[in-house]
Amino acid sequence: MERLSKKELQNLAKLSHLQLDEDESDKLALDLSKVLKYFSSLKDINTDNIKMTGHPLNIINREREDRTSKSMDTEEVLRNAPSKSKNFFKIKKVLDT
Amino acid sequence: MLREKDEILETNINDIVKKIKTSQINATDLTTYFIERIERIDSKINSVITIEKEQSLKRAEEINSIIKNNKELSKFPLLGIPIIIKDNISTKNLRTTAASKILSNYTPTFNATVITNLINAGAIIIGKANMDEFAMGSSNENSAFGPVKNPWDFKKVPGGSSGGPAASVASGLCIGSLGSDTGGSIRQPAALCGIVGLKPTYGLVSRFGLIAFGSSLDQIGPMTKSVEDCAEILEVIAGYDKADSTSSKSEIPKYTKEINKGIKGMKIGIIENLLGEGIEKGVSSSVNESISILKDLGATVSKTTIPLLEQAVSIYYLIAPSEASSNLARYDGFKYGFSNKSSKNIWETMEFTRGEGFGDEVKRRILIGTYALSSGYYDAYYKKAQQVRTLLTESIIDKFKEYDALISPTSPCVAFDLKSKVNNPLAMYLNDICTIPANIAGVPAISIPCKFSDNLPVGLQIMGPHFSESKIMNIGNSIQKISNWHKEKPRI
Repeated sequence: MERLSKKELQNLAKLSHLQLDEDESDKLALDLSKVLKYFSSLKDINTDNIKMTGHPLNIINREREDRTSKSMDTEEVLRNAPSKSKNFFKIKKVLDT
Repeated sequence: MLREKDEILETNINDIVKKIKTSQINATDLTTYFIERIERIDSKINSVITIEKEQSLKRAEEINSIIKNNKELSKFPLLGIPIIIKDNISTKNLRTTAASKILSNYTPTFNATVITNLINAGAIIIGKANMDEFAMGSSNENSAFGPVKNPWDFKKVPGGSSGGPAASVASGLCIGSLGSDTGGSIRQPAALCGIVGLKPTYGLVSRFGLIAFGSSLDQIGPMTKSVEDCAEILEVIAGYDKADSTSSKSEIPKYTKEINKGIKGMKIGIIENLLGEGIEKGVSSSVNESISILKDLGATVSKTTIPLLEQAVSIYYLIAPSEASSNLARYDGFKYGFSNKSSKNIWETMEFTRGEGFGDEVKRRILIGTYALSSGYYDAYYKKAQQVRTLLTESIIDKFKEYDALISPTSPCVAFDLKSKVNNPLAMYLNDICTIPANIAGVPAISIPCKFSDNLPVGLQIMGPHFSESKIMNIGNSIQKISNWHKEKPRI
């Protein structure tokens, strides 16, 4: 594993919707490179025909009956909202004009 | 008056509840006693984020009236017991921050199922405990509310991520606590603070209302002074919950009875690859002392090696951050919590809110997870880790054909100095080697105090097959019946 480049890190930050400053990016690129290098030992293990773990106890999907029930009160749901308008979360604009 | 009540700190839950029910102890007095202790002592260790004074005193009054009216008291196994909850477990109308700036002003509108269970059993929630932000960390130094100090030595870490619950129980600020454990977050701080901590089988305790970190690994569990108290609390919080789709329908045993069966004839394996290189000498000699007790009690103890165990840290630090990067996508600055106000559009709101709201370790893990899940790397990292997880799980489960339980140290070292590992994430991650395997396989494991090393607590970990909580608590309780390590108290 090569050292993670600044550009790669910035791409990851963009995918994660995280704003990082210059110093932070440098430090995180180094941290991630070290950790990813450590993970490389997994490559040597033969996993041909081995299934991925989906659930540690192999419980299959559990479905509930298709019946309506009372959901949370709108007022309660909006109680923690940083910005709201009537019964809605209020957000900044999506498209720049 | 208070001196008399200090005896409470030596008394188990069952005896305290009996005294409350027979009015020998008044619930209001007891709650006041613990709240005063928090107000007096916690500035030294910083284990509590929010104290719930008013509501818990109101609740104590309610309990007094329940007793007065003699309402079927057997329905309340935790009547009047003051409990502190890790701050990533949702409590209705009581601020729940996950020790993050991004949730610093968040107050849930509902209770986690474990909280409903505790309240129905008569417990009193007196506060919310400090922790590593979003339960990510092994030293409790990643909290937006400042680090927690180890009550045995204020220069040392309490362990993490449930450092607040562990330090508050060890300091006698409550009778018991709930923590959460994704890779050792209950057991490692329990070990470093000299208390008992249990991570139950995946699915035994409902995760509804637990702020999600690594959903295939997370479990809530008790943190207490003794195994007896641990069984009392587990009996209340375990059980099927239709609100958690991974909740198990298995029957809940009467743990408080099961833990007294004794261990004669049991076969116990010592995990050899967790007792050699990389483990502090003081830790291994303490663990060896517990092993001789197990032999004295009639168990057969022998060494065994778990294949692939050395891969546990890599598996975990790929899977847990991958799940976290997805779980933490919900913090966008729109629905609840901290929100950056200077942004011009929704993309900036998200980026600025998350950039400012999350701490270093959380960002690091979101990025690792995003990397492991991104196209081009998915097969080599995430998929590979989940496949090796399958193999390691098989190799752990396989051991239980031969052994009733497996033992090891809980942590490779005793409590380390504050700030000594913060700049080396990999060193911090490697610290979790003993505890991670149980989360990977979904099996239960408990940490109990054993002999001290350099005046600092050491934890013995006992791990069993799926749904063997009775068995591993029985082993722990058998040790505690003839030893006094769990009765040691820090002087603060």
